[in-house]
Amino acid sequence: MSPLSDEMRANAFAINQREAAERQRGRLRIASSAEAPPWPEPKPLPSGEIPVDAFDYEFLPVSLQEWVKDISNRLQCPPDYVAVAAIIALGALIGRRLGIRPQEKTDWLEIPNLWGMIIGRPGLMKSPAMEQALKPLHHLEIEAREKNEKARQEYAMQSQAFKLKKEAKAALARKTLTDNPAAKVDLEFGDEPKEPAAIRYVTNDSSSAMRLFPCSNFSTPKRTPVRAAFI
Amino acid sequence: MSNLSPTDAPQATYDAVLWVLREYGLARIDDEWMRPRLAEFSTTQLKELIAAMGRMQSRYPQTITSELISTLKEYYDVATQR
Repeated sequence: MSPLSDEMRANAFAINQREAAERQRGRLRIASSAEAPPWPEPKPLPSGEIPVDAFDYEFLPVSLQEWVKDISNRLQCPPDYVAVAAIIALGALIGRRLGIRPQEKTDWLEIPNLWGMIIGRPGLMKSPAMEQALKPLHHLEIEAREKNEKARQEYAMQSQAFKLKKEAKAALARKTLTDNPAAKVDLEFGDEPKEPAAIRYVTNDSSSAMRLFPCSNFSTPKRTPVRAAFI
Repeated sequence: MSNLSPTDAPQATYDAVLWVLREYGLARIDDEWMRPRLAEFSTTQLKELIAAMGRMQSRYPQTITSELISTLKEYYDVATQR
């Protein structure tokens, strides 16, 4: 065996002292299970929930009350689930067309942005309730998608026509000027068609990139709600 | 080696010491580089290091010699004596 040098022995002794001090402070990890104290008896998880008031239909606009009640009865789910999704959907439709002026004599305008969350144990019909409440919005989304597609096709045609017209006019002007450099030529091409902004109502992507994308590339008279069972 | 206790050396130090001893063996156990790093070890880590050396001995017989393991054990004994 190679004897330890004085320096190594001193280092090993320093480890000994350090651990003794830590042991005294009670901070040292117990290395072996033999030294470890036995595990305490597990305590039951708290089961009590903070009492909350029952959902009051008065929270809803009158026109929504019966509809929400009907869905809740049919799905046998708490009305809260339907109501939350319905209010968020309405908020999305109203979007930036309604604001709050907190101060009467200033131009401070706040556009409310509603966020909703449904919490419940598995099987409590959260997703079906949300789907029912968002159904009207999905219909609008389908219609908007068709309109967007039509507008896109129309834009493609107009854009192509504009390009051809521009080329033809330029060719004509070139020919006219070749024949007579002093001639007046018409280089007025008119307004170039603009790419139509697509309308979106719902997105499933909650990432900030996708939340910004509709705002920058789509026409959003409405705020685009994010629909997701779990975010 | 997860959940380091307050007396443990960082995992990177442990890995470096293990590698150096595996590659160079006893020749490096008492040099300027090794001494301060080994001094950072806890007794738990020393125990793990000795066990690791024992496991790797058959693969690195030239460097991980019985003498190296004995020296580490002696170091561990000093560190754990009460």
